[in-house]
Amino acid sequence: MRCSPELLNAYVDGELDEPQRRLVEEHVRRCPRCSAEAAELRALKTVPAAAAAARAPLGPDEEPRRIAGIVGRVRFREAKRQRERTKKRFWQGAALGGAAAAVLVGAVVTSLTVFGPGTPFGAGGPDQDEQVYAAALQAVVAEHSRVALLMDMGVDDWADWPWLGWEDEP
Amino acid sequence: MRRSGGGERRAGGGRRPHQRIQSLIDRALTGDVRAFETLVTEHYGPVHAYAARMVGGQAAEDVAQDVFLRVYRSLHTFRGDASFTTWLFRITHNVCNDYRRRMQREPALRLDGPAPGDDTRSAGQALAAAGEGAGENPELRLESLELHETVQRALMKLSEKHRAVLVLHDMHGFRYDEIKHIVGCSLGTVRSRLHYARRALRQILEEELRGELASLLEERPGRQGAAGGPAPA
Repeated sequence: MRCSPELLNAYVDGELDEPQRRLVEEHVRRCPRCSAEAAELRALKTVPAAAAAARAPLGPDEEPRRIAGIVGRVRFREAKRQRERTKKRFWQGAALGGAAAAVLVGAVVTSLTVFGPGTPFGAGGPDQDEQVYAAALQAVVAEHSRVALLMDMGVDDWADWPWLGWEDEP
Repeated sequence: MRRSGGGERRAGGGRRPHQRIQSLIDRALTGDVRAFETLVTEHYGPVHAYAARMVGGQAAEDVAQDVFLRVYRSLHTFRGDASFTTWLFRITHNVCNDYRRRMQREPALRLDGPAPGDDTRSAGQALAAAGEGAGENPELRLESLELHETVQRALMKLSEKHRAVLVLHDMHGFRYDEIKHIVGCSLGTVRSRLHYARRALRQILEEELRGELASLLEERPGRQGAAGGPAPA
């Protein structure tokens, strides 16, 4: 292989996969220039590391003060978010309550429109309404009598009789 | 897996269980500010250090604050595909880029003075702030602080792209594939940028140290065992 400073850096950093590492190692062994370069790179890369280790620390109170500043802002945001969430829930509840009230009012208005005075049911006047009530009552009584008769006859499974016009329980 | 140099990647130094971080994130997502505070406390140092190296010390505080506020807003988007630290540094890298772009648009906002980290202080001031190294030899401590200042000045002379990969790899200990996610480029680009960054750093340090670089490198531990094998873990 030819001299490659980039590969040499990666080799010194231990960042090559095994086949590449062997290749570069073999080259470094045979090439005096790359061998010297590798040694210098190894020494050079310890300089920033040593400087990092010697970094002047922040004063004893500085870091906690800065962290407290960040956390304080986060607390403020969190409290604001909670307030907004509560406000949102309130308005959601209010909207839901309003919708329920609207449905209820709609139901009342509809029932008054359908069954109230002046509606189709009451359109024929009190006399006609009375006739309708009487007819309905007669129908109920007739049905009751029919069932009573069947029971008197000792028919147990009368409920299954198709002519009765009753459907099975769903 | 080996870790190169940098010891600032994890504030506590050790490997934290992924589940613990995930549990803190889950709690923070339910509005538990204390859990978020723990995340901030454990990661503030590395984030601030990276920001200081990328945008300078005076802006680093603002950038670090912006990073953590953005993290808080985006926690729900963390899927765990990459580690939390990688995800956090990607945000930090983006906030640093945004900050630089803003400074270019509105130079009036630029903070005055050189800004090599909180390291703008002189080595003596920094030493005093550090409580004189608590038992360490003050002379050695001062020497390493001076080295830090020199390296910081050299870093600020690198292009932003080169500085980012060099700082992430050599100072924060990220692997190439992690840097790829943080910076948003290919593995080949990371490799190439790191090569050019080191070459430029070497040149700048040579100018800064006026011929003392060779003797400094001679003293470095990597110099021993010149041939063969990657850097020791």
